[in-house]
Amino acid sequence: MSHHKIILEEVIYTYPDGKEALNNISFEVHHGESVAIIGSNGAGKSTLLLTLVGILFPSSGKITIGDVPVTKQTLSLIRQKIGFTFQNADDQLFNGSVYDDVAFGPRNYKLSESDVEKKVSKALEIVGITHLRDRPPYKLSGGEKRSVSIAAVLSMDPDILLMDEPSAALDPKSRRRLINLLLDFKHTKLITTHDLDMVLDVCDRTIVLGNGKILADGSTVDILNDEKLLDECGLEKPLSLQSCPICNKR
Amino acid sequence: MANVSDSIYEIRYLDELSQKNSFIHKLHPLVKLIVSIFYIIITVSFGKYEILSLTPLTIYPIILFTLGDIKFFPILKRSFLVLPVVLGLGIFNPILDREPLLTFMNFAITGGWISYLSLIMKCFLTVLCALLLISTTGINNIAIALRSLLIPKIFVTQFLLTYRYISVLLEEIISIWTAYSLRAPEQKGISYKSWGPLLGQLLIRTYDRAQRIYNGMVLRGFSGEFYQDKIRFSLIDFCYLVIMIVFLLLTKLYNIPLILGNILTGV
Repeated sequence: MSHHKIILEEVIYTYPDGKEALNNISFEVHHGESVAIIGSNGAGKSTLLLTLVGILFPSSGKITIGDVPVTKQTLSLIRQKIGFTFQNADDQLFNGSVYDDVAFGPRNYKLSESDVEKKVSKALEIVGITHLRDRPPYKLSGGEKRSVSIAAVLSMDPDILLMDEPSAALDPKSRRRLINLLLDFKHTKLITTHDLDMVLDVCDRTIVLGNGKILADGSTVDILNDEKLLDECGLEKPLSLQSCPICNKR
Repeated sequence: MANVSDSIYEIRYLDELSQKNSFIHKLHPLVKLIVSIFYIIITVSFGKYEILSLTPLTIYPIILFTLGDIKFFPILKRSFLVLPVVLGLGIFNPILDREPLLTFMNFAITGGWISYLSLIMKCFLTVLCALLLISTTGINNIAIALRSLLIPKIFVTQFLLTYRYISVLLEEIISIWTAYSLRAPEQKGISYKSWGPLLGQLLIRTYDRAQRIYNGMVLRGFSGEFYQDKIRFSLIDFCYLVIMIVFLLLTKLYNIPLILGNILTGV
């Protein structure tokens, strides 16, 4: 998997209750690209991410990560290369200490304890939470938990980062730290979010989903300036692109 | 409400204790597991009237409390949680078994009361032993030890996830309870009319949550195995194992309090 690209071809996913969450989705994300997936609630963003890591399998269509198609047989290989952070950091943290949580991934890939230690220390340092190392995760604040959940995937040295609403429930400082962190991560990134200002900072390309379909796919600046499109999709122009309400200047 | 949130902290208190770095914590998990299992077997193997022989078994928890740097009362409090069950189970002993076994200050004590007391002691000691095992070893290390005893993967995973599920369940109960009580301030507790829907909700929500946590584990390479560098058996582990097993066997084979009593009274 030398090229960290993601290819979706005519992917359809229907929930057991008949709701069509993804309807004929096709796109390609190239190596090193940083792509935002935006859309109103229930547009299919989270479902899309879950199909990429094989937690949900499409009813039809094909997904390829690197050069490997996502099938039951290739899951282990694919999941090793993908770092996935959940919408709710609590769902990712279940060990007694931050260290154990961050070490969970590397240990599952049978690294020696000294290598695990190195990877954990590096991941904690990148995220800037070395001081939380021995704390129990359930006693941390929301922002700290989010940081731990990011460290927990970075410790696996992922080639591709998938994040489900990473900036939700973060205070402004933590959000800014997250943005800087994402800018430093040079591999392929796919981020679903409602935080369009963050999209503007982090992602060059944006895909707009609505009712399980791709409504637009293009450069972030173009899409976020298209007020008509954003309005149709239940979104709003990001604050940083809006005129000043007082002097009407940008 | 406060009780429920306290319970979460209580259950996690044991996890926190397991992060300590004492002599007992550093012992090999397998050694601690074997000694604990052996201790429980020896404890329950005593006859129903053998209270006296049970008393030396209290030494083992005392050693763990002292060398493991574990506070006595928080653990004691938790071990009382199962007491009502045993009190209920053994309640018929004094009624059914009325044969006087010994007299104490002119009172005839029946076999029923003695066996009731021995049941309570056994329950208390075994529960204490299990709690001390968790708080000095940690649930993950116990899982690793179980796997090295060749317990099938599916049972170990089940054991581990059940333990994790308890806190998930409690957290969901707290949020449902909070949501309910905020909109029903006049009520004490939850009206029986809402029990059905709330329980249903709880089941579905915890199931969903557990599924998400499981997904989180699977995405980070979890396949039911626990890989951690094998902690090596040291001489200390071996000595601890031998000493404890010998001690437990001695308590089983000899009535130590009786021997001590005989020596002291010179009989």
